[in-house]
Amino acid sequence: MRLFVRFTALFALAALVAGLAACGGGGGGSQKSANVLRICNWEDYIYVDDDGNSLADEFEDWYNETHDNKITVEYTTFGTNEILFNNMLLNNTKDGNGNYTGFEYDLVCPSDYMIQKMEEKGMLEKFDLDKLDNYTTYGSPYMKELFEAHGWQDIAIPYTLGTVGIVYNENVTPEEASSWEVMLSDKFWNRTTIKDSVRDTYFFGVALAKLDELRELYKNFTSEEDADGHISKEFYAGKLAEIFNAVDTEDVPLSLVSEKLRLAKNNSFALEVDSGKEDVVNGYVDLYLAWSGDAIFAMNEILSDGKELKYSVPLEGSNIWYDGWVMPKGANTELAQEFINYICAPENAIKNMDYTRYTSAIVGDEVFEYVTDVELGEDADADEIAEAAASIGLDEDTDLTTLNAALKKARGIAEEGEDGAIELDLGYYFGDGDYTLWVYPDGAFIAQYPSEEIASRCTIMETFSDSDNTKVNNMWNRVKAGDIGLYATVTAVSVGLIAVVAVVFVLIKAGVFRPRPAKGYTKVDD
Amino acid sequence: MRKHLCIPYSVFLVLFVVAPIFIMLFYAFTDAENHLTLDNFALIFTDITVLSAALASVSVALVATLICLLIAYPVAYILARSGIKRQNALLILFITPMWINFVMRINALKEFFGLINLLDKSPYINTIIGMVYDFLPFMILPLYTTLLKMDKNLIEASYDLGAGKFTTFVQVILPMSMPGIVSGITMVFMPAMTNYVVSDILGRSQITILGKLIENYFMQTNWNAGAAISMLLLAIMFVSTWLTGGFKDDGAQAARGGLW
Repeated sequence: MRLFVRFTALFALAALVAGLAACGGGGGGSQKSANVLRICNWEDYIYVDDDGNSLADEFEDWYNETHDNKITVEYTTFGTNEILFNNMLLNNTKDGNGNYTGFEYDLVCPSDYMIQKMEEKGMLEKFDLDKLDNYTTYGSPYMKELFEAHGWQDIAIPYTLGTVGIVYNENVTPEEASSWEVMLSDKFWNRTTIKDSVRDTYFFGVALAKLDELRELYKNFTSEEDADGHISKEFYAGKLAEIFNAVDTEDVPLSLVSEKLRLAKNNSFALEVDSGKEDVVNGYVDLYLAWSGDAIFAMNEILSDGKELKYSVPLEGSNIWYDGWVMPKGANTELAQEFINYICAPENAIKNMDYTRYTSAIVGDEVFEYVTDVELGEDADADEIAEAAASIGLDEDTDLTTLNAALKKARGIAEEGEDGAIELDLGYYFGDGDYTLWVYPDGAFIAQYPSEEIASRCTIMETFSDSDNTKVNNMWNRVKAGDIGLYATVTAVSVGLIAVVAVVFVLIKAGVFRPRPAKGYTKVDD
Repeated sequence: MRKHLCIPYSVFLVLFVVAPIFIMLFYAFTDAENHLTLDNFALIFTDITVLSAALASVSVALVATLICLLIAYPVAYILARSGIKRQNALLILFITPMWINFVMRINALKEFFGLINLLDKSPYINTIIGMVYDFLPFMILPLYTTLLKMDKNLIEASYDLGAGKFTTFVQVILPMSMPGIVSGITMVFMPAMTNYVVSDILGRSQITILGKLIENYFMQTNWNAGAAISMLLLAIMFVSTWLTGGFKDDGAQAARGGLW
C-alpha cells in the first residue's frame, strides 16, 4: 500500500513536470488572435509618457476609439538581436513541408543583418505598402532606397538609424579622431573604451586591419573626378561593403583582425556596451567608441558640467546601422500594418525621437522643425529657463538670448557662415525641399543626422554564415580571454606558496622544529 | 503523515534543481541541431580560450581566498575572544554589507576606486580586491563560529603542559579551527571563480573568468558550449567538496561550525 502511494505521488509529480514543460514549450506567449497585436521591440525604444503609457498603449486607445472591434496590444521587449532570433527559433509552428507558419509575435524590430537572416530563413511576411500611407508619404527617401537596394521594400519598414563613431574630449584633436588608428595610440593608453559586442567589435577590427587600403579608397573617392584613380560612389560603396563584411579571406585574414583587436584591447581602459557613456562623462577615458544614439546622450550629459564632447566618424569608413519592423510568418498583418502606419505619423515619430534620441526614419517639415528648432520661445517661464540653463551648465538667471544661443550651440547647430561650421544639406535624407542648415562638423546634430558624405563612407553589416559567425565569436572570445602567461604564473606562485606552507605545517606537527622546553621543564624522551 | 510536509520542497527540488541540471546536461551533450555530440567537451580541452579563462578564474580565486584567509583569521580570532557586547557590534559591522545587494556594493566600490585613482590601474588586481571585498564575510563567519565553539580548556591545558604561544597556536588552535578554514575556503573559492560581475565592473571586462566565458557563449547563442563549461564547473565543485570532506556527516560538520 505504501509503495502504491509513493508511486502515485511520483506519477503525479512527473505529470506535473510534463504539464509545465508542455506549457513552456507550447509557445509561452499568448495565442494568436485577430484582436491581439503582439509586438516585441528593443528595450527603451518607444515613447513613454509621464504616466507610463507608451505609444503602443496610445495606439490601442486610438484604435478602439476609431474602430468597432476592440483590440489589445501585448508589448514585450528583447535585449539583443541574437536573443530575439533564438527565441523565434525555439517558439514557432511549421507546416508539413517545414515552412514556418507562426511565431509568438506579430511585429518585431531587429537590426539590418538580423532582418537579412530572418528573410533568408523564410521567417517573414510581406507588407502591403498601400496600407502604409504615412510611411510612403513621410518615410526618408534615403532609407527607402537603402531598403530597396536589399530588395526589402515590402519586407521591412525602417524605424531608426545611426552610425558608429568616436566620442572624444578636449585631450584629442579632431585630426587624431578622424582615424580609427587613434584607438591604438600609445598617447591614449588606458584612455579608450571599445565595444564588447561581437559584430561591432569585428567591424572595428577590420577597420584597424585595413587602415591603409580604406584610407586610399576614401582619398580616391573624394578626389577630383578626372584625377588619377578616382572611383565612383557606387564602386566605393561596393568596396566598403566587401571589405567590412569579409570573414577570414585572403584579403582580410582573421589572424590580422584578431591581432589588431588584441592591441586595441590592451590599449583600452574598458570593454563595454553601456558603461562607456559614464566613463567618458566622468573623464576616465578620452576616446569612446560609440553608437551615435549613445554619443548624443553622452554629449548632452556632459554639458551640465560645463564641458564638451565631440563626435567623429573616422575617414576610413564605418558602420551605418538601422532597425526595422518586420512581420514574422503568420502574423496578424492587418493590425501590424495599422500600428506601423500609426507610428510613422510625423507627430508620433517626433514623440519617439524625443524619448529615445535615435534618428527616426520618418522625415517631413514637422520633423525637420522639431530637430532644428531648439530655442525657447519669448513666452518661456522662469522654471523652463532655469531647467534649460542647468541642462547645459549655465546659471539659472541667464537671459533668454544668451541661453538660446547656447542651446543651439549645444545642439550642434551653428550660425550661418560661422567660423569652423559647415553647411549641411539634408536633402538626401529629407527629400525635396530646403533642408539645409549650418552645423558644427563634430557636434551633436551631425551625429544624429549624418551628412551625405558621412553616410557614403558608412556601410551596412551583412549577416554572416553560421560557420563564419562561430569563427568570429571564437576569435573574439580568445582575444578577450587575454594574457594566459600572467594567469598561469599567478596560479603557479600561489599553488607553490600553499604547498610550502602546507609542508612547513606538516613538519611542525611532526615535531621537526619543536622548540626548547620552557623554563623549569626538561625534555623527556618518549 | 509528517512526511507529506516534504512534498512542497520535493516539488521545488525536482522543478528547479534537478530539471535544470538535466536540461543543462542535454545541451552539454548536443549540438545546435540537437544531435548527440562530445564536441562541446572536446572544445573545453582543446580551445586555449577555455584554458585561459580557467587559469584566470583559478588565479583570481586562489589569491582572493588566500587574502581573505589572512585577513579573516585574526579578525575571527579577536571576535571570538572579545567580550559579548563588543562581539555583537563587531559582528554586525562585518555582516551589514551582506544585507546590501552586492552589485550595488561593487558599483559603489567602482566609484570609490575612481575617487582614489585606483580604477584605471590593473584590472586584474582590482578584480581580486573586489572578490576579497565581496566574499570576506563568508570567510569570517565559519571561522568565527568554529573558534567560538572551541574548548578554552584545551588551550589552557596546552599552556600548562609547557607549550609556548606559537606551539599552542600551531599544535592546538589551528588544527581545531581546520573545519572552519576548510568551510571558509569553499565558501570563497568557488564563487570567486565565477562571479563575473566583479571582473566586469571593477576589471572593466578586461578579465574573462569562467563565469564570463559561459555568459559569452550564451550571448552568442552557443548554449551547448556554455552548458558544457557549466558542467565542468559542477565537476570541479564536486571534486573540491569531496576533497575537503564536505560530504561527510553533516551533523558533525554543523557542530564544528561549517556553514555547509
